[in-house]
Amino acid sequence: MTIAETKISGRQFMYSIICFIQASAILNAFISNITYQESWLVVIFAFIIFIPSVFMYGALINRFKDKNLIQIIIQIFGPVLGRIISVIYLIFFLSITMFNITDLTDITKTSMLPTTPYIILVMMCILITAWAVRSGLRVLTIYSKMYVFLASFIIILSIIFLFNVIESGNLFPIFSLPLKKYVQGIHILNAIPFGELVVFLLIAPNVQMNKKQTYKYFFLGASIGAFSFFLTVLRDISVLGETFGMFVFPSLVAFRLIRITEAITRIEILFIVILIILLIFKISILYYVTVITVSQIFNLKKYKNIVLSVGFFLMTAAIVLSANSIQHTLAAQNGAPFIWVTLQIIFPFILLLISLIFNIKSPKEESK
Amino acid sequence: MKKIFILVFLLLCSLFLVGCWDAREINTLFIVTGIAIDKSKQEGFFDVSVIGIKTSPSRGGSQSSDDKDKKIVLKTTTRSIRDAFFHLNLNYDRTLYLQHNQIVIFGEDVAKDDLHRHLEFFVRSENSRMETLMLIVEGRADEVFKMDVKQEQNSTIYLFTHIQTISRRVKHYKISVLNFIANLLTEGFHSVIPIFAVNKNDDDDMPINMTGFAVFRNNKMIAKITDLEALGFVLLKGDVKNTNRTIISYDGMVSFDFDDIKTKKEIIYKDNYPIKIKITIEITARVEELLGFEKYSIQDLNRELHNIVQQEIINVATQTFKYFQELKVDVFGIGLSIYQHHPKKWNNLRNDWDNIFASLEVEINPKVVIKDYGQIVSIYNPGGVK
Amino acid sequence: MIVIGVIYLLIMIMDFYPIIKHKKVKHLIINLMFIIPGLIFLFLAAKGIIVKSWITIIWEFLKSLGISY
Repeated sequence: MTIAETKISGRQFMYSIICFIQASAILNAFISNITYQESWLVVIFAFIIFIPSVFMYGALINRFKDKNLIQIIIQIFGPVLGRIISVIYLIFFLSITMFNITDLTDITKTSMLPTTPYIILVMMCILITAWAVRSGLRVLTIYSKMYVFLASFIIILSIIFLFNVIESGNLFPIFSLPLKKYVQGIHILNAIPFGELVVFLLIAPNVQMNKKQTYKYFFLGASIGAFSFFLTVLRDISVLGETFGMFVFPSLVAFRLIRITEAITRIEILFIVILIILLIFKISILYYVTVITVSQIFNLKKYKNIVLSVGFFLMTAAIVLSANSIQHTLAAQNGAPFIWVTLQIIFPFILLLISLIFNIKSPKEESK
Repeated sequence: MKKIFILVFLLLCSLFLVGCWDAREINTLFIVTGIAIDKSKQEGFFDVSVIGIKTSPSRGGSQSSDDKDKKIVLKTTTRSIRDAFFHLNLNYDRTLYLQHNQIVIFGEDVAKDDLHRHLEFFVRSENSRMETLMLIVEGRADEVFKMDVKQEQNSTIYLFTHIQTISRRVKHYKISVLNFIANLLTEGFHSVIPIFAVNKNDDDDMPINMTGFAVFRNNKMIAKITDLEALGFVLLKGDVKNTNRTIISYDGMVSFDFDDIKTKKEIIYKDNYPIKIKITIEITARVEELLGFEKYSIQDLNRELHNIVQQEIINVATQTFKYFQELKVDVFGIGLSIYQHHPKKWNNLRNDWDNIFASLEVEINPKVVIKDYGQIVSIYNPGGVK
Repeated sequence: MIVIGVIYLLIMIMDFYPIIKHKKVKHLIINLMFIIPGLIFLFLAAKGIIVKSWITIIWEFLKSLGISY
């Protein structure tokens, strides 16, 4: 039984996944000062390594057709241990939501509203996303297709406009770094942003798709999203060269270099606007997933009445816990990958393995 | 209840998200178009000058045509750029707004000292833009702000337009803060920045002249190249849309326009050690002016001009390359090419690259195609023997 | 900062009104489970106290075990 009764189509699900990864374009700064100009190579390898995880998520969704991740955990591990594990996932979802809120407010403060107090930006973000979450999954994902096309159009447009400053030589050398750097880069990318797709396991029961379509939409969504991310990194490296690893927001610096005529200049606002839209979308999804997790743990029939209180916690915790961008970046580069990958890839794999060994399925699947 | 929430929410949005704290009215801003940095007489201090546009509203029916009314120059002497802006903001009625800064000009003394300490601010500050152009001025940089320019609002806008125009032909004249920082960080590569001189002749309406390039080893200017070496540098770098050269030979004078200059470099190794560099320079040339050469037929003239231009390119390019070898400064990206395509070889060469570069043998191979001779097919020789 | 927190809490009355009206005790307890830590964080933020995130704490623990890049 799902908490939210609204259903979305498989395509909306796919576009939501693409939007989710495109919103992480800002996050190339996490690997830029580790793998520098070879980051484009690391993105390719990270996605190839992530592909089995996509099929693993698909297999879990198909095996437990009408259950979300929390319900699967409770079914497999029982009500007590299952809820304890679910609380760990709740903390995980709260953390990634907070980190993404911090990213949104950082980019807004850097580019548009430098003197507006942090708490104002966080509060407005929470209120907007709370409204979307209270309206339900269908409203959350209804414009995902438009966002995908808009973001893709802006990425392609930026590459065309930056053609005169792109130097293909900036993409080289390759394989010049120690192996440890590539491993670290791939590990970080598998945690952020690819591994974050685990949140879609909480949305999957509300999606109308058959078994084949599950694999198809999940894989297509992840691939197109990863390709967008790859194009962004490729563009930034070929434009910025050796300075790619220096900046907190390399894409913003790259966009500022666009100058076609005196009229087509200073169009980085396009990038900022679409990034804010995508980040709001991503935060809405994460916020929704967090609220669903809370409802599931406490067996609530409706989640709407807890949305704003969860938002209040997110708002205040985001200000206090994400102290500054340097600590945030260091945590993302060093600590988060180990913790995140355990919850995003290793634990769902254990769930799938246990369900296969002990032949545990959802009752719907058992009756087939 | 829902309607009350929507109303409150919209009120909050209109209150908080329209730039309450970040409102910037134009009459509170000093729009900076150029920054000049010179060494001060005080040790460890720098003279920082900023020039901006006057943004007062125009009165109907009367406009001031006096240049002095259009520009405003602010000056201060401090230890760092950030201090300078803080000081200027403190003592001026408007806030300095750097988002329209077109150009950063360094005096020759500052360039010889250490450029990196001044660029740190432009890289780090959220208010500055990395595509701001950089140039060096012979003597003091603040002399540029005293120039009277008739064509533009102030001298930095003039300079910016000037550099944009010439860089459409030779892109190497346009160096931004981002380009220079990227070059500093790039292994096996040193940078050049265009150098200008202020024209002190009051009768001349060209207030500033480009004299060549300032050559940098890392952060410090070590030499200047002008005229011949500047042409050689442009030829060796390649990727140039148009430049020109007048050659005087025994038989006459010919002026060529060189279009679409492309350069290819081939490094010859011996035991994984580079010993020679072969540079192929492909040029499409047009004859723009031709005097003398009367004794040549059209076919012979074509051959002779080919020989002349090829020899000139070999001489100029070789002389320039050797000059940079004497300076031990690889500005052509030979080391960069090894680093990008053969990183393992580069690991053995990186620590001694400047000396290795200085010892390379160079072979210049020009490939010139004289595309056309202009609007006339023969030599213009009025009153001469036909 | 306290002012903003109060504004938000006032907005939350919209959630509390149906809970109190229909006497949903479970919802109320869950809401308080998030509001009370939120208020603590709000006061910490107002005082300017910065707290280490749990990820940083776990990372430092992993580093002490030698599990780090």
